[in-house]
Amino acid sequence: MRSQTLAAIGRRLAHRPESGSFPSATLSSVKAVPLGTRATTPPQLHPLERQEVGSFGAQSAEVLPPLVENPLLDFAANTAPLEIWEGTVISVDLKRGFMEATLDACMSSMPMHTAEFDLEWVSDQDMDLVRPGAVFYLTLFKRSKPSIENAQELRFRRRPAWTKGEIQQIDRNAREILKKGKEAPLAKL
Amino acid sequence: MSFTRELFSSSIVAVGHFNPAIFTPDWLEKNQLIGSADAESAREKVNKTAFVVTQQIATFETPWFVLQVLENQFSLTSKEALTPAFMDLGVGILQLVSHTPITAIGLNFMAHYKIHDVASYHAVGDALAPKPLWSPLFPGRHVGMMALTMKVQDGTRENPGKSRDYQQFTVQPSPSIKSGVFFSLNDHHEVDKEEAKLSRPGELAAAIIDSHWKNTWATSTTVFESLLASILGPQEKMNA
Amino acid sequence: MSFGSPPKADEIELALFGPGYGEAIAIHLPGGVWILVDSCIEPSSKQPAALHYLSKLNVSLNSVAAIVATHWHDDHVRGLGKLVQTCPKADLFLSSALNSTEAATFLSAYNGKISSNLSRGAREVGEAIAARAEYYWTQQRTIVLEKTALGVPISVVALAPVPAAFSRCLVAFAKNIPGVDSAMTHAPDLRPNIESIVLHIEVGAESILLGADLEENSKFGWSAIARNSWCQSRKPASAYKVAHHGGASAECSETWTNLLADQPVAALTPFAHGRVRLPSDDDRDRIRSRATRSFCASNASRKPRMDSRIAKRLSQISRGLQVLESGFGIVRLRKRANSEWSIETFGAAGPL
Repeated sequence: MRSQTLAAIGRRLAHRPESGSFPSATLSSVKAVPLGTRATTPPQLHPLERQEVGSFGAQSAEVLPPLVENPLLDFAANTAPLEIWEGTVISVDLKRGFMEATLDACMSSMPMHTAEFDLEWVSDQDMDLVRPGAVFYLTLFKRSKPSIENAQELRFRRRPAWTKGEIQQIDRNAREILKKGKEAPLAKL
Repeated sequence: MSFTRELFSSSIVAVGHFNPAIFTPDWLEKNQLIGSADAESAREKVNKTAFVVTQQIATFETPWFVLQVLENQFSLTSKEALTPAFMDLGVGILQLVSHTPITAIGLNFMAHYKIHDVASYHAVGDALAPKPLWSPLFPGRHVGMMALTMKVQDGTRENPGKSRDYQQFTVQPSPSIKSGVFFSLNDHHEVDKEEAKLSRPGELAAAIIDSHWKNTWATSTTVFESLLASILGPQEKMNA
Repeated sequence: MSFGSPPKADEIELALFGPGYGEAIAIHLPGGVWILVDSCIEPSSKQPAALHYLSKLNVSLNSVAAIVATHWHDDHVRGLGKLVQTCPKADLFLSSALNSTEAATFLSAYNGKISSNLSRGAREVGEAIAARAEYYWTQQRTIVLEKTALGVPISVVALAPVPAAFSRCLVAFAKNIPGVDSAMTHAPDLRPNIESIVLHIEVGAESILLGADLEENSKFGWSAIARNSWCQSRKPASAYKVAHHGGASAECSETWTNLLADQPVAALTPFAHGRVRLPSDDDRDRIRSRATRSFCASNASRKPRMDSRIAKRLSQISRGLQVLESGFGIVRLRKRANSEWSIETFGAAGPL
């Protein structure tokens, strides 16, 4: 972790390569970022399209800054999802290198399916998470930039470890669950 | 179909009082919220622009998200394919900083739609900002809509609802897609002050994300595409 | 789907619902009393199948006297929470195998109150419990319902789980209770299933055996029940909801000889989860040889049901793609005194 003065950050950002429509970042603009909750991701201009973009109805236009702004971030969305499934691992065969899973579609009303996946589709960093009951997200998407292509991603769900407070709450809830249980009468032998 | 969704992304923004110095790739990895490859990818940026962690600001990126934390704002923005893992990450981070005083959460979805013919593209702007209203004011000059924002809240103008939550929809020409329309939805939720006194505000904020993010995704798509369909005519199939 | 008219006041009915993955049962007893066992979702209405069915028959939900959740596995409890919420007069019965601090802690950890979506089954059971001020533990000899209606004695009792299973269940739950700083993972299904509630229903001279998902085990499973003298004293059942989707792991010849009438009517729901497909061809042959007539709640094909472009892309990174809930069906058995079972099938249901 490099220690940076705020002034140095500002200087570096001000000399950033032209990214299109964003004003140069200054420290004052960093602090002036409004305290709203709106998206801080600015749409980025594709260099070839810059001249055509401006406003609806305009013949040709100068490039105008987008409405949403955060000068510190200069990346852009480049994908659109086609379908996403929440997968749940049913079984894992490490020897033969595959897992079986149910697939529950998130973006449409298609019914649940099952399928087998080679573990080569699981990233190395996720291999520790592969076990029966584990959840992953399988996304089929279209990437528009740098070139148009179909792609997919399989990413396992991660949640933080259980905290002491959560474990205490679990114990409290368990006691409440048990309190409600009653014995029903038994038939005579 | 006369339009297709070309780009889609999301961001989660929290307003509060943060300590940017704790938000490091190592910290996320240690708490099992990101894997080792993602953490390494973020650390590798140390010699490039994007990786900064100080007392006042933390910003770094991995292949699938960008994290930026200022003293008064937390922002998580998606990169590459958007998945519910992004929501899990936002929830997980705010659960870890459960004592952080957070006052509001914004769930944002952004989409760029390509309109397949130029006439339809102009029809979008004409429908939202009718030419007969503006053109007479500027005879002989071109007038075009730059952006439109609508705010949606509970209640009516005369009887506003008690909730301070709202949704803000924005439409503007897409700077990324030729003949494209950009939509954004900011779904703003206040963290209940009274509840925050009794509970941990970070956990409340995480619960807001957990319970609303997927619905907001669905709402964004429905509204964006219903608006386009209303202007351009019914479509065969909508995205989700 | 149209289901005709509701059963007559003196008619016994067993309606078995199966969407291809999932199971639920509605039992009608003389006097207009209904008992619901487990829950699955009817796909067109997205409602619990029993609720959808009863509303189509114009049956008041106030006539549901009991809801039994035989165990907590996902395929048997989808919609259970809603079922309990909408049947206000129904007592809720849960397996006594859950009556331990360990099991309650397990349910509490995975039911979604602390962390969402770690176990759909635990979540549904949690919602069901939340909808009631109390619920009843159910083990061998528990009386779920006992009354006389229209002059006919009715008794609904549990044959399982056996108390000997409880400590083993407790250990299984304890192994999966989270600890501080342990990774937050999803709840695995615990197997073999020895915690399931098995119900025996007697109506006058008739009786029905509902096998749930109980599997065979000499101490806790089917042979333990079939050799138990009290269980043997129950009237042999002429209708049988076959245990564990007809799978061989639940097969026990003593079930057929000691608990069932000769050549009963048999019905089951299929199960498919990864490579496990129940009933297998051998299972079907075995059941058909034992039952006079046998039926399956869902005989539909498991061919993938999705947009062909998406199926093509998915098949590039996977194999064996099959639909889980292949098709919803109902097997309905009705009987009046001194008559045979009449059997109807609806939707994807048909002969086994």
